[in-house]
Amino acid sequence: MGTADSFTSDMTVSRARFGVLADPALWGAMLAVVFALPIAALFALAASGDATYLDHVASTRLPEFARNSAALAVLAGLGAAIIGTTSAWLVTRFEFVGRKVLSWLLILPLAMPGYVAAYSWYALTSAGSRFEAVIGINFPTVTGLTGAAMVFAFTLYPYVYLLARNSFEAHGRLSWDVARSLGAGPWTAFARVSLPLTWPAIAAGTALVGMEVLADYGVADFLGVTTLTVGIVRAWSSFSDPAAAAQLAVMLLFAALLLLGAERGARGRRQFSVSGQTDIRPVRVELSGLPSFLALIVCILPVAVGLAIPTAQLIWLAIETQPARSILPAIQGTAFLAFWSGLLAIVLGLTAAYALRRRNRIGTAAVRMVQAGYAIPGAVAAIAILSALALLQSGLNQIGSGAIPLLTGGSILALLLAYQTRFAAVAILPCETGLMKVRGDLDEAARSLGARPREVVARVHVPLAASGIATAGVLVAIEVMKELPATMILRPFDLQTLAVTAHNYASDERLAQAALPALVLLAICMPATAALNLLGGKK
Amino acid sequence: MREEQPQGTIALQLEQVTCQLGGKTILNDVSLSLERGEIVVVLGPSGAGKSTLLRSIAGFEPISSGEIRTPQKVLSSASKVEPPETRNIGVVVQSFALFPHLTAAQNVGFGLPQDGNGTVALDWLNRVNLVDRGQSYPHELSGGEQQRVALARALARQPDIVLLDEAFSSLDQQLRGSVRREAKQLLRDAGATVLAVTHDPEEAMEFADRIVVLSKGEVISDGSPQDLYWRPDSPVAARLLGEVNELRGTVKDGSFETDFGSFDLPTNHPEGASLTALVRPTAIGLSRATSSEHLVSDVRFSGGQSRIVIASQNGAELSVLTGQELEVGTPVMVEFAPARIGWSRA
Repeated sequence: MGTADSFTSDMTVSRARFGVLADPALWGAMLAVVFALPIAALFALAASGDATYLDHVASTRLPEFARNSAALAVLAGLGAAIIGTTSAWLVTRFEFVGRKVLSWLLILPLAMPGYVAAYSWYALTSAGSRFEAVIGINFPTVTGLTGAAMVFAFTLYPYVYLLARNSFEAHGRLSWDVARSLGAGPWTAFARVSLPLTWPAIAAGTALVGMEVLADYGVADFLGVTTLTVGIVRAWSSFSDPAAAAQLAVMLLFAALLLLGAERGARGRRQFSVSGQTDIRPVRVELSGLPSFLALIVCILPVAVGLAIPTAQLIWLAIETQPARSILPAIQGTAFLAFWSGLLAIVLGLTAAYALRRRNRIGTAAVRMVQAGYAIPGAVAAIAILSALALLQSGLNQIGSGAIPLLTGGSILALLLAYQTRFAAVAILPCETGLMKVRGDLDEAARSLGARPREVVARVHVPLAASGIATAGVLVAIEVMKELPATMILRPFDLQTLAVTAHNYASDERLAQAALPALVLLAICMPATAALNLLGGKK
Repeated sequence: MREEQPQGTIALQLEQVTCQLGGKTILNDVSLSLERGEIVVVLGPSGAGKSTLLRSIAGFEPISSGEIRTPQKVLSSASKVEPPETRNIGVVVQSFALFPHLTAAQNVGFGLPQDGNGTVALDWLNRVNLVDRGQSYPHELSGGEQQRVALARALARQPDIVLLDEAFSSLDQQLRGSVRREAKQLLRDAGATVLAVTHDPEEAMEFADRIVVLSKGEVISDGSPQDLYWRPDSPVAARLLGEVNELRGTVKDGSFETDFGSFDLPTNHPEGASLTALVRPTAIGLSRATSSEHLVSDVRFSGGQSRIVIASQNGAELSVLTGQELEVGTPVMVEFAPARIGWSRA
């Protein structure tokens, strides 16, 4: 990711004079502040609530919540790191049958929502399943801490895989060859050169996995691991105690920010370690016979466990099950939320990118703050929105009497706001990257040719940043479709989504009924993820 | 380049323009005027403020004091900045800044909203001999072709002024000369008033009707290429245009005394004043002498001309470019052409 520092003086963006209201940079900074406010409200609410519930939780469940969250993040991160690094190493350094297809397929499990994989694997391995009957072996049921860690490792490893693969490719073979010429064997060269060079990428990917695990509600709740996020949703939905939920949310937020810091730190070093070798394409070692077969198996395994087997199981379940109720409302609800969130993301992402491009210190700070929102788990974002609404309500109540509107958490607007708070970073980065390609001298050329600032945006910036803008919209739409905890907490009662429908069925142990909505969700997310690969490939 | 207006009127005027950026004074009290149809080149070392000068004229940088104006209106002052899009000033920059998502024809037509069917754009592509490349995207064009598209794009709007900011520097050496000559012809044919910035002296002298030398944000010389080359009035300006001998000496009995003899002064200077004569290596004549205080101390042959270094008795050196064949140690007589000496107060 390029930063503002990488601009050279000849790319200075001239201070285009928009009318104040039409200045996208100003809007970007303001939107950034709006989406950052709920987090401030969260802290206020957490501080305001009396600590009775927290004391109670602290003496009973809090250590368990924290221990489970930590253990799950560590186990899943470790698993994802091993799977991601091994497969990335194999596809970049060796040539074997199916390598090209697999190097692409290995990304796809990212489209599989963890909870969907969890339903599927649980159904496959629970006592008395048909799978066991056919095979004749009793598998341990995928449940509890280890089960959840396995599901996470096999659905989230692509984060590590993508970063590690890029890193292995960037470092080329040169350092490897030099190490070999200095007397290191292949394994020594891997351990002493390739791995240390790629280590920051692996660490960054693993930190991302950890953040996803902390944010998760669906997998942990379904497989019976009481994590912090599960605690937050329960504090809210079962005990209706927003202050307690806010206090837990603040704790979760700190844990997530810690991981974000780790990720940023690792990335920083990664930029440092990529030096002038980037042009050297890795020369792959040709494998044949047994080694080729083994490499193939090792690379197929994650795709099979993370994507193919659970999907097949879902299809099987869906075919032989008569749906209890139409899932059409859920499809509509999902599409509705995804569409508007995607649109909002484009507006936020693009205006924020302008605020960054302007290189105004306040604007930049506001946007960077919102970008840290990527570390905010959905449940925290939802509680933060509720906190903001609660504070606003009490403020309104104090000011006036009579016709005070009742602000309610269960509204579409609150939900859309929560999604943006959570996914702002996802929206901003592609827009920022896209807009950064538009050098300042193009603005100036357009202005000198008679284009007003507004026209420069429409005729130069938008066409040039189009793929980044589209990526932002699609990415956020996908994330919103898969999102569960924020939707659970904030949705109006009459709003159904595929994720919530699947979760509700699965929680009732009606896995066969959960299969269809889960499959439909997957059917939408998979092509969207593939489309993103294409958008990315065009750059 | 409104053709109905007579030549010789002022097209652009800068009055005591000062420009401060980030607390640093980039332009200091710059006054300059361009006549209609004139091609003026601003020459200066890097960091002299050349680009800032152009950017403030184009409206990309505000000025701190002074005024930039055309006969019709004030473009920039401390209190007012006319936006770039309403100045009617064309710009061609070093990177050409072609819009990568538009074809060559669309680039040329960018500033022509009234040119719906693209005939004007096509006409301009024709003028730069690129009519068959109209549907190509910038990355499909060679550097020279990109340059011509950028020039056609700037000229198509019939701007009052055309600014060229190192517009030929990104082309390779071989291409640069021919592209420059074509561009000059095109600008002349269009009757354009041009202000160009460069750090390349050869480009400046070939391209300009008039050269303005900028150093540390101030105008230090202003004149025709010939005057500035043969009769420079400052050592800095003289060095920018090429190699120069700087002969220091004093005024004695109304003539100028140097290590290489004394010669007449064109204007009166007080007795005893210190002056520097600025003389190009090609403006010095040499002839063999049987005995002389001046000896050839070094000869470097490079084809058509040799660089010959003459040493005076007390160690001063003079560099001469000549087609003559002389050997090291030869005593020579040195002769200066009075019309090709520049004077500067030492």
